[in-house]
Order: sequence, then C-alpha cells, then structure tokens
Amino acid sequence: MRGFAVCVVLLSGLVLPAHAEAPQRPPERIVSINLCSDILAADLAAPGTLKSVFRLGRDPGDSPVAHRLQHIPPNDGRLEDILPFAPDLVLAHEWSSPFTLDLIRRIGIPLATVKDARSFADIRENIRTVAAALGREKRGETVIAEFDAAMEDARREGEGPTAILYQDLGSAATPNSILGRILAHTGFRNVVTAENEVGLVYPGIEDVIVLRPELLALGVYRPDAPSQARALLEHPALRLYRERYASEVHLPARDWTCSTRFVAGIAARLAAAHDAMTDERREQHSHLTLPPWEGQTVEDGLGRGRR
Amino acid sequence: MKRHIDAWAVNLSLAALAALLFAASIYVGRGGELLADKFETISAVDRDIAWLILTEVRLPRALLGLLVGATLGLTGAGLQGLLRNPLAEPGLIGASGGAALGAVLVFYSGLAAGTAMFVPIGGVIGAVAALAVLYLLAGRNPSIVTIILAGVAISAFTGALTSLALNLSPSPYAALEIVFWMLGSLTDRSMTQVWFVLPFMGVGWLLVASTWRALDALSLGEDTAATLGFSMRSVTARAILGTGLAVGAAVSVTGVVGFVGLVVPHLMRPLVGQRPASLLLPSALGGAALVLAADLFVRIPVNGPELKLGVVTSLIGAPFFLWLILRTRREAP
Repeated sequence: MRGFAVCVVLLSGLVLPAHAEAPQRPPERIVSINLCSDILAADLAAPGTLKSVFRLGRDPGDSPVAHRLQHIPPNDGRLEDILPFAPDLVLAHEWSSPFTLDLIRRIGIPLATVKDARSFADIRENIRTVAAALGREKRGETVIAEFDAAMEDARREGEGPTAILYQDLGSAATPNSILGRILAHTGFRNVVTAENEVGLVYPGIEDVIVLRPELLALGVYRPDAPSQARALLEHPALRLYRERYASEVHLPARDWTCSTRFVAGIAARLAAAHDAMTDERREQHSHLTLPPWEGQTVEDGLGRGRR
Repeated sequence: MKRHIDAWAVNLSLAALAALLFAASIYVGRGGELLADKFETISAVDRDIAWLILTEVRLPRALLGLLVGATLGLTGAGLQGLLRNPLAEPGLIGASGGAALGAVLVFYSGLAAGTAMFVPIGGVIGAVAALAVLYLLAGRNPSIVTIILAGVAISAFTGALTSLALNLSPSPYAALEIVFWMLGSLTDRSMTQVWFVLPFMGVGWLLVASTWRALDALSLGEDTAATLGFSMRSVTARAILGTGLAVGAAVSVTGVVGFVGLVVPHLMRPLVGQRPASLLLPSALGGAALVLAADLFVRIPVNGPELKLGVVTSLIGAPFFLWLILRTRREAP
C-alpha cells in the first residue's frame, strides 16, 4: 500500500507539468471508465483519440455502440488499467468509484464526469459536457440536434392509452424517471403515479394487473441469461393478462441503461405502439354505437374484444 | 412428564389454525389490503381479471406456503427423531443449502430451459447429497457437536458454492439472486411451480412418515431398535431420501427458509409429548401455520420489494436457537 502511495506521488510529479503546459490542445489520448461515458465518447470523440473504454461499453447486452468499440481495448475502471494508456483525458460517471476519481485528480489527469440523466435536458447537458471536454463542441451540437429531431418524431399528443413500464425484478418506471418521461412524451398515461428519488417502484404482478394498463412495455435485459428476476416476467398470470387484455412492446435495456441519445430508439418503439393502438381503437370505434372510450370503466374497450 | 393433551385435539386445532392462515394468505394482500375491497372494484369491471389474480397469483402463493411449511416441519421432526438430536433441522444441517446449490446449478446453467421440472430435480439431488455427506461424517455416532459442526460446515460450503455458481453465471442480477436463494421468498410464484413440487413432496412426506414406528424405537437406541426388528439401513435411507425429496423440491421454488424445521417440533413437544412418532403430524401442521404466518408478515411493507421470508423466520428462529443451546447446556450432565 505504502509503495503504491509513493508511486502515486511520483506519478503526480511527472504528469502535472505536462498537463499545466497545454490546456488548449484537444485531448488525444482519451480513456473512458464508465459505460455511459463510453456511449457519449463513441459519438463525440475524433477518430483514433479514444484509447480505451470500459468493458461493458463493448458488450452488446449493455451498450448500443458496442459494434463501434470492438477494436478499442477494454479496461475495468481501475487506476492500474488507466495509467498504461497515459491518458490526457479520463471520462467517468459521477457515480464512478470516488476512490478512483480522487486518485485520477491527484495524479493530475484531466477528468470529466457525466451525470445520471433523468430528463431530456440532462441528456443534452451530458453531450455538451463531454463535447466541451473533447474540444468538439460543434459535433456535440450536431448530435443534440439529431436527438431532438428523433424525439420530436416520436412525440404523440393527447390522452392516450394507459401504460406501465415493467422490468426484471418487478420494478416499474415512475413518471419522474427518464422512462416515465418517455412514456408521457409518446402520449401514454403512466398507471404508476408515485414518484421517488430512484425512479422505480415495485408493484407485484397482482398490482400490475389491478392497475389495468392497456400497454405493457417490458424492459428486456439479456433475455438469454436465466435469472429469477427475469422469470418474473414469464409468470402465467402476467402472460395471460398480456395475451388477453393488453398490448405488449419490448424495450431493449441497452438503449436506456444509460440515459443517452439512444433513448430516442425507445421513444420510437413506444410511438409505434401508440400508433398501432390508436388505429385499432379507431377501427373499433367505427362499429361501436356505445359512447366512446371513457378510460378504464368501459368494459368493451379493455376486455377480450381488444386483440 | 405431565399428561399431554389429547393428540387428536392438538392436531385438529393445528389443522384449523393452518386452514385459517391459508384463508388469510389468500385474503390479505400487500400492505394488509383486504381482498374484498380490492375485488369489488375490479370484478365490477371484469370478473375474469379478479379470477386470474385469485387463481394464478394468490392461490399458488398460499398453497406453496402450506406445502413448504409442512415439509419443513415434518422433515425437522423426522430428522430430530432419526439423529436423536434436538438441533437437527434441514436448514441447519445443510440439506437446504445442498438443495439450493443443486437448484442453482440447474437453473443458471441453462438446463432448466428445456423444462422447469429439472430445477426441483436438481434441488432433490443436492439435498440428498448433503444429507448423505452429513450421515457419513456423523451418522454412526451422532453426538450433538459432530452433527452441528458437520452441518455448519456443509451449509457454509454449499452456501459458498451457490454464491460462486451465481457469480460465474451469466445472470446480470447475481447479487440479488444470491439473496433470494439464501433467504427464500414466496412472492409471485405460480401454479406451474405448485404442480412441479407436489409429486416430490408427496413421495418425500410418505417416506418420512413411513419411518414413524422406527423413530419411536430409535429413541431407545440403535441396538434396541434393531432387536425390535427395524433395519437401521432401511430406516435411515427412507428418512434421508424422503427429506431430500421434500426439502429439495421446496427449496427449488422458494429458496432456503431457515429455522422452521428447528422451532416447530420444539413448540409441539410440550403439547404432544416427546415421542418422535406423535410429533410428525403436529409438526407438519405447525410448520405450515408458521410459514403462512411469516408470509403474511412480509407483506406489510408497501414500498420497495417485499421482505424475504427467511428474514422473518430467522428473526423468530435464531433467538429460539440460542435459547435452545442454553437449555441443552444446562441439561447436559
């Protein structure tokens, strides 16, 4: 341990002057130690400047940019993994290990952290943060414009169908989470109304059915890996409910594990589900003489007729 | 020893208690919300949905509580009789740990993808193997210390292997799933799982129950039991295999629910006496009642995921276990 501390002190002496001398030049040896910063860097970094990414950034189960990072060496987020690349910028997350972040600062390597994005504004802010650290502000604005356009395409207005976003472990997205905001943005009414800091509540299967969502949006994370957490979504009661009473859409977790511009893909899927459901509803309407949809109390609208 | 209350009266009242708790388990939901209030509103809209919840969510949970509780109570009483040891219990001597390991190996290796039926089979094999090892280590001369030490060693070892298997598995939720397998839960089980475990448990119960006369004879010592015409080999084999089948199946769907098999026979002894044979049925009924009651308790918190069942049973069981050790020490010569 003592040896390591000495080493750190020595290193800090070595690296500091170099850093102080050239703050203007854009970084050329970038190391990212977190999945979320990997995804941002993949979009923003100049070709060839990204020297290492966090191992999950290359894993297609977690990363929407995995295919673009296959040729970049992975790291495990530890200081010892970072130093061999002699980075002139480290990208991390605000929740990266505080010990690692502290060491990086003490050594004097420039550090930029992205934050946990809980709104569309946060997503834009993260893009700007990383773009600024990379000296690629212009590229950042282009990415933001693309993101905004994609989100605008997915916007649906009005009192749409009710929905729940349910995932492994039985957690559901609250309205103040990023997924909750996307639900609202694509014109769905979230049956979960409680809000909390974490952005998740845990209704049991029974509660989900009682809330009677018209759309079950299932968060799908590594469907091939067996887990109890995932087995929950295959519960017969939930399956029967999906088959008989509700529409269903699958949302791959890699697009939203980190809230980045890729949540626009989630929004597009939900918007498509919204369109399909409202078309179906309109069709049904045309040969119904009953008063129109009054939300949850109209029996024909929710029940077996809607398949 | 004082005269005990009529065994039938005890059994009947325990059965009534278990039935009452079974009904309560169906009737009371999350946060103590009552079924009637909830269902009045739903069934006005759609009776089918109310029926779906009742038959596919509430009923399997209550049934599994009943079955798992009865299994743990019965096998606890059986093992205490077989090993002539008041501290024997499926959880404590490693049978549950072995079952969890077997179930985990099958579930996460992807073997279960073919049919979920393989998971209880893995659990059964794990439990029987753990019990066989225990018996080899301590069987011929079962002093309290050897049994408990061997059991603790097996439990720790299978627990470590379970964690290792989960860490090495591709499951993204390994840490959370370790908690599930170690502490047990009845939340959101399904009827499919009830049908899977029922045959294993049924056969296991019959095997354990079939040893009842021999267990009585055994309380006089192995030699006496042998002179009375009981084959030790056959009795041991039946008790261990039966326990393995029932506990293995139980653990493979609910995880390890600790201490039930330990506490229940001790609670029953003052009511029905010390004879191992007369303990079996009351322990099964009492175990069912205890697990159903504990499962009602875990539903009380409304926010966040439910408590794990093993948390509640261990909260009751661990202090009881300490008290038992103190008493055993006091009574020791």
